Formats: sequence, structure tokens, C-alpha cells
Amino acid sequence: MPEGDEPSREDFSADAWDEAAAEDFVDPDVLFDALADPTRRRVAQHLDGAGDATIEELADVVVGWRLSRERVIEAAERERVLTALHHSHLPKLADAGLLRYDSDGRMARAETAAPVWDVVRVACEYANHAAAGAGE
Amino acid sequence: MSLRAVVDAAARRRKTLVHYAPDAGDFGDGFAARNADVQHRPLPERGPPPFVVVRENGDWLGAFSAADIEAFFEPPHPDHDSAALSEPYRALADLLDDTVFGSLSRRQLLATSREIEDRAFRVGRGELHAGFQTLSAFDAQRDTYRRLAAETDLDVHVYVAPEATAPGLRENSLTVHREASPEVSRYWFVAFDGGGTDQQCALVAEQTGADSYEGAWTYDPELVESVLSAVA
Repeated sequence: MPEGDEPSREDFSADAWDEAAAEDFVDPDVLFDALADPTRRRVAQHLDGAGDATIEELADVVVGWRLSRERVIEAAERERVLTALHHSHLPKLADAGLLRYDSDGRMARAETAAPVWDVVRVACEYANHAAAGAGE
Repeated sequence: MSLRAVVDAAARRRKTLVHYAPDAGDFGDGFAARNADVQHRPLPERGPPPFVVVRENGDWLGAFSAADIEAFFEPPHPDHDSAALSEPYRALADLLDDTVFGSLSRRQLLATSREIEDRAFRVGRGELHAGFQTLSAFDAQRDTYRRLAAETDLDVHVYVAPEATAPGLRENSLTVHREASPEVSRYWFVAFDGGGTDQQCALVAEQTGADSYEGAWTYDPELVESVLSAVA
């Protein structure tokens, strides 16, 4: 829980919400749809922290999260992750303003306005806590 | 394929362990004798627990938690063929099925040889081939090999480098070969064909110093077959 009386999270950039222009807000339906999938949340969270990554690294990170449930991930499953990233997840993240394709083939965290990334962080935090609670 | 070529083939199958974690830490410090390179990729905060991707020549082979990999490499090495072997260790053993070593002592090689002999004893059938570079080396193991031949259905073959002064080497239960094969005088080897199971394994070592050997041991069926055809 955050300390003090202030209800907002420490990294919740409230000022930026007031300063953001209307066009800085991604269509909420598109944004929430992008976040309505665990693989896309993992990718968005990784890009937010790392800045950029190759699609291979993103597939590895998605696989890495699955190791919490399974002790071995084999090549066939990782191949399915890679295909799903390529055809479905990465385009949706790009539509939601969370990812841009670098010219050198890397995926980068898009420079979308702060409120969008606040929503991503809260959504990921929420999902991580919900998953941890479900595992107890 | 010569024994030297078997060691080289094992070395070519070197794996890369891509370690994803916030910090490199001391991961991989204990893997020097393993046939693997370690690469570190930083994970941002709030990422997944540290994990490792195993690759070979660019191919993606599998992923495991860093904790499972470290436990796998930590001595004592989990028994490769134990029926109780849990899933990640079995998968790891399949992926990391060669060990290439640059410097092992005689004591370490004896321990590895013993592991192969024990495995052959437990299976109790198939062919076991062992090379001894000197008669005294064979004498030290003679009782072990007699027992292996007498108490199992194993077909045991022993190769002893010929020595001019060596007395007769007659054994009832096991076959002693005294051919002047350059492989026998140069290499320490033990090879078990698995006896129709997946328990095949082989060790090939060449002496490089007073108490220092280099070589490889492998659980790979094709490489084990290559060792057997090189010596038998």
C-alpha cells in the first residue's frame, strides 16, 4: 500500500494526466483490448522496463513467465509463442501505442504519453497480484 | 570415427546458456567443465524469475528456471539415470548430454568410469568396453570387471595395451584384447552400449600431464556408437 494520505501511486504521474492533450489518450477500447491478454501485458511490461528488445528476446521473456507454472518449456511451445507475437500480439500493442517497430528490426517502447503507461503499469501490477493471490 | 574425432564432435555440440536475470551474479561459475558458454541478458525490474534458455548453434532447444539449472550442475551431479529423476533434470540431461573437459584428475576419471560401470551393472545386459593403458591400471580394476562379467549378462571386453614383460592375461568370464591398437595405448575409455535401453554412455580421455586428462563423456547414442566402433 502507498504510504501517507495521498491515494495515488508513487509512479502514477497525476500531473501528466492534467497536462496531456486529448490526442495523447489512446482510444480506451483499443488500449484495454491490448491489455486484455497475459502475453501482451508481459511484452508491454518488458518494453516499459527494458526500452527495447528483439522479437526473439520477447518470446524468451514470455516463455520465462510460463516457467512459473511449467518446469520445462520445449522448442515447439516457444515457436508457437513467436508466431503469436508476430501475427497477433505485437500488431495489437502497436495499435494501442505501446510498441513501435525500429528500423533495425527491434521492438521499442513507444513514446506514448504518460497516462497510457500509467494504465499499463497498473494493469500489469493488478494482474501480477491477482496471479500471486490465485497461486496461494 | 577415431576417439579423437568423437571428442571433437562432442566439443562442436557446445551449448549456449542464455541467462535472463536482473544481474549476472555468479551464475555459471561452476560450469567451466561443462560443454556450455553462458551469456547474460539483463531483465528489468518486475520481470519473471531468473531463467535460462538453452541454444545450440543458433537453434532454440529449451528453457528452464535458473534455480533448476543451478541445481542440475551442482555437485553431487543428480544421477542421470535415476527413475526418480524429475522432469526438468531429465530434459536437461537430454540437452546437455555431452561433457567436454579440459582437465580432470585421475580420481575424477575413476569416479566417472565408476558411474558408467554402475550403470552397466544395473542394466545387466549389453556390451561394456574398457581400455587400460597399462597392465597395472587393469590389475587395479580387475576384480571390478570380473564381478561385472560374472554377476550379470554383460558382454565385457577389456583392452590392455601390450607390454613386453606382461604375464599372461587369462580371464574366464571376460574377453581380454591385447591388440596393439594406437587408440588403446593413447586413451582411457569406458563405453556401455545400453543393452537395448537408453542408458548408453561413454568416456574418452587422453592424458596431458602427470595427473591431468582431457576428453569427453557423452550420453548421446550416436557418439557412444562411434566410441564402440572405434575400439571394438
